[in-house]
Amino acid sequence: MKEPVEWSERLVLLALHEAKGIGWRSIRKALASGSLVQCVHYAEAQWRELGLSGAQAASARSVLMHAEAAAASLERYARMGVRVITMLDDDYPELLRETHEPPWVLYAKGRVELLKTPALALVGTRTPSAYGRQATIRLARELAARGLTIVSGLAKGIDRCAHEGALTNGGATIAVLGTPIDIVYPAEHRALFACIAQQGLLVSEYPIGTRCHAGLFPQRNRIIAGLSVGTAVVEAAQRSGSLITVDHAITMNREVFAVPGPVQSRYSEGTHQLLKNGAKLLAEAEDVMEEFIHRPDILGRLQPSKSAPPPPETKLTGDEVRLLRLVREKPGTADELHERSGMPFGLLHAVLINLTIKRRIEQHPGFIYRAF
Amino acid sequence: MEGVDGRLIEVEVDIASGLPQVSIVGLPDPAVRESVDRVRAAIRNCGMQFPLERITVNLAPADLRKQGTAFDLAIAAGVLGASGQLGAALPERTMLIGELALDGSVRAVPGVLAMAEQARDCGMTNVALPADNLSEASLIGGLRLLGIGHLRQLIEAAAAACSEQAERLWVSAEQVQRSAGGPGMAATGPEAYDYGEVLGQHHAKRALLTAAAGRHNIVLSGPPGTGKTMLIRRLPGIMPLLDDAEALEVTKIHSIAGKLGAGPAALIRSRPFRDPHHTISAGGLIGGGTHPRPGEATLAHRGILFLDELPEFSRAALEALRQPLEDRSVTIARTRAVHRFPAHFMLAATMNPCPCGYYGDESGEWEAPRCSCSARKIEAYRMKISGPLLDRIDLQVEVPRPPSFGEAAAGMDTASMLERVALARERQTARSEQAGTSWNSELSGRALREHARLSGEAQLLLQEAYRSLGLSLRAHDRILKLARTVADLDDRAEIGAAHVAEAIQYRAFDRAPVQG
Repeated sequence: MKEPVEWSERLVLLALHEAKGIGWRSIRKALASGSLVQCVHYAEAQWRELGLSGAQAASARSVLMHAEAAAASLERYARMGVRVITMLDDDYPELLRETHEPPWVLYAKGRVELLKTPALALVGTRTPSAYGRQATIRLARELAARGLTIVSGLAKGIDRCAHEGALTNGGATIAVLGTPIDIVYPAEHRALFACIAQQGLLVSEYPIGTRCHAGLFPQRNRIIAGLSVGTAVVEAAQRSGSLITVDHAITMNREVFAVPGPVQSRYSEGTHQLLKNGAKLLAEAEDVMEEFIHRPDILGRLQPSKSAPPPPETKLTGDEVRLLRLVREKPGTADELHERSGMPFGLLHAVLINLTIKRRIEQHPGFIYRAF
Repeated sequence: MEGVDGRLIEVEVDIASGLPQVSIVGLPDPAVRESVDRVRAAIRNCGMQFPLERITVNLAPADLRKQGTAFDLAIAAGVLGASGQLGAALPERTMLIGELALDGSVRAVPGVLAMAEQARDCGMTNVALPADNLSEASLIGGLRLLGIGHLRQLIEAAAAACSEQAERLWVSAEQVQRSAGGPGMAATGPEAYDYGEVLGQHHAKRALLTAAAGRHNIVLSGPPGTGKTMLIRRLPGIMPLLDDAEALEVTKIHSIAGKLGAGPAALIRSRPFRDPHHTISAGGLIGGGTHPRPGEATLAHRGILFLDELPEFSRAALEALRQPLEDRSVTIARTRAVHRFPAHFMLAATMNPCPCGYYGDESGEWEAPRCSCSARKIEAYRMKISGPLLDRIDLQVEVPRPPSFGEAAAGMDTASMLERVALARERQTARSEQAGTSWNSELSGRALREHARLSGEAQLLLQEAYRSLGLSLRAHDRILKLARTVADLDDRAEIGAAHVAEAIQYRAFDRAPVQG
């Protein structure tokens, strides 16, 4: 026979959070009524007095009947290597606690200490251009090197680039999921998911077993903004989901950054609108640092990575230098580079392959070469 | 006919007293069985007697299935001969080919070329055949031919027997050729398309040049409207014409398939180009049917099989292609016989990079449609082409959208490309004795290692590329073969770094993709 489990405030909060039909507001009502431990003894009528509906009251009553069930749920998370962090815990990130509607419980997997580091959200469209991808990867890498944790949403496109960019040189990143923590969405990010669980932190508000639906994703945006001292947007169309994150950041009185894009692009409309409305233009990591120059509370906590010396400059041949200059001027396909450089094809291919091997240029889908 | 080769069939006719009845033995199929009715009508309508006795027709060898209508003439001759109505005998060693109409006229049949060839190989000297097939059969030299338009002419020829007159009736194949105006050199077809019309796309053009030179299979991948189909349609123009042996093979196949068309026949000299629609069945592609007939793969023998929108083809059809790609022939097994069709073709295919077609298409135009496919859908689309099939396609080339109209230069045209292909062919032919094959795409094992030796610099580049580009291991041999062809095009014995680099660039699907 096991020891009977005692209800604690934390356990009640978790039980209510995982109860069916009980939302964020219901829990606030319970908290407002006094000690959570008291709630254990509430009859359904008392719950209804607090303003819950009949069904909610029944649900609350039933989950609070057995402390063992709640404790078993906690144990299950522990076995899965998932940390359960409630609002009542010291581990709970302060920045998030300050926000308007902070999640009562966070499920986290990975380096939980990252929740206490200064973080910057980097979000954007799910269908980026090569320009957007590269800008994101570069910014994420540079910002992470300065000690900022990069927060994003593990979505396709810019989110993915933000995580990957941060991870490249061992930087820190937090992925806030719109799904329970045991589900990888989109599925093709499985490898990235595993990598972040190791080197970064996965966070979700949703208990395991929650039915996934599209409505959960905008919800998690408030956590992305809430964990971060500022939110930066790369490539967002006029009505992009990324702008929801920005709205949250503005309500929370956090900084907003936008990376400018080409004027013809539909995916610059959102970011340029932000810039017009006073967002800070973000072109390089220094732009973020400057903004926080008077914030020792942030800068003081930064731990810049002991920047690994840049890879030894491999010698480039004359042809390689010439071609690299052309690619930097304007990315292009092998055909365009052939016409612009006048190099015969054999030589051109050799130079392209060599530059790729030396990691100066990169081949993108569509056979387009871009400089790093 | 068996596969694409003829089989000599002896027709024996016996007339015995008994109830009037005709039986054909020797596994005839319905068309052959019906032959009796055509023969009976034709003989009557020529004013001859169809004997009202018990007639047995034996088609030997008796254990082989017979099909088609080409036996009519032989059966008629047999019946007339056995009933003593044929004045004298036909010359020794005469083969009869032809289908009879009810009024006694003789109709053309498919496959005469192969039959005539078989006749010669079996030691026949005379072939009587439908007048419409005369010029086709005359492509086989060394035969005396009699083109007949009506059964009566056969009877006349028999009556003339060995007289002077007969000598005038039978003409040699060479005579027919002369009167048709020179040996079969026509039918190269007008060169309607030229690569000079294709602006830009230098990379793809070079890839096609390489493919044509080494007979490598190729797939072009790119968004819609980039000219993939246009590029491949011009491919036959840069391939050397068929040599005599090849031309005969190809013409035979087309004769059997009944695709030679009317008019004076000539050997097909241009490379066949077949582009079946993607709804084609596996049987249609490689051949099939109760009595197997050649499919598109065989019709493309010695030429190009073009599959537009490769992933749209049914899985079964694509998988069926694996055998011909490996063995260069199609084997169709039926309970009674196994048929072999030659299918030595070069596969040229196009595909989109993803189901919507726009994956990776963002060159220049910001407003260009963006790819809306999930990574899973893209993968599923590519998975339609199985690994083993993709393994047999040496060149996988991305064809990006050209930046804008009017900017690109024309580059190589068909004439100059053809010249370079011929040069590379010469090098391959010179090597063929040692290598055991005349095409670089067929180099394998030791021959490959021996003839595709890399310079030190090239070796280094290949190793580096493996390490940092994430090339798959199975690509190694393909890259060597391609590099060999590229070096041949460059007229170099040794494969240099530039050749290897170019070969690597032709393996688009091997590189680990950059994720978006």
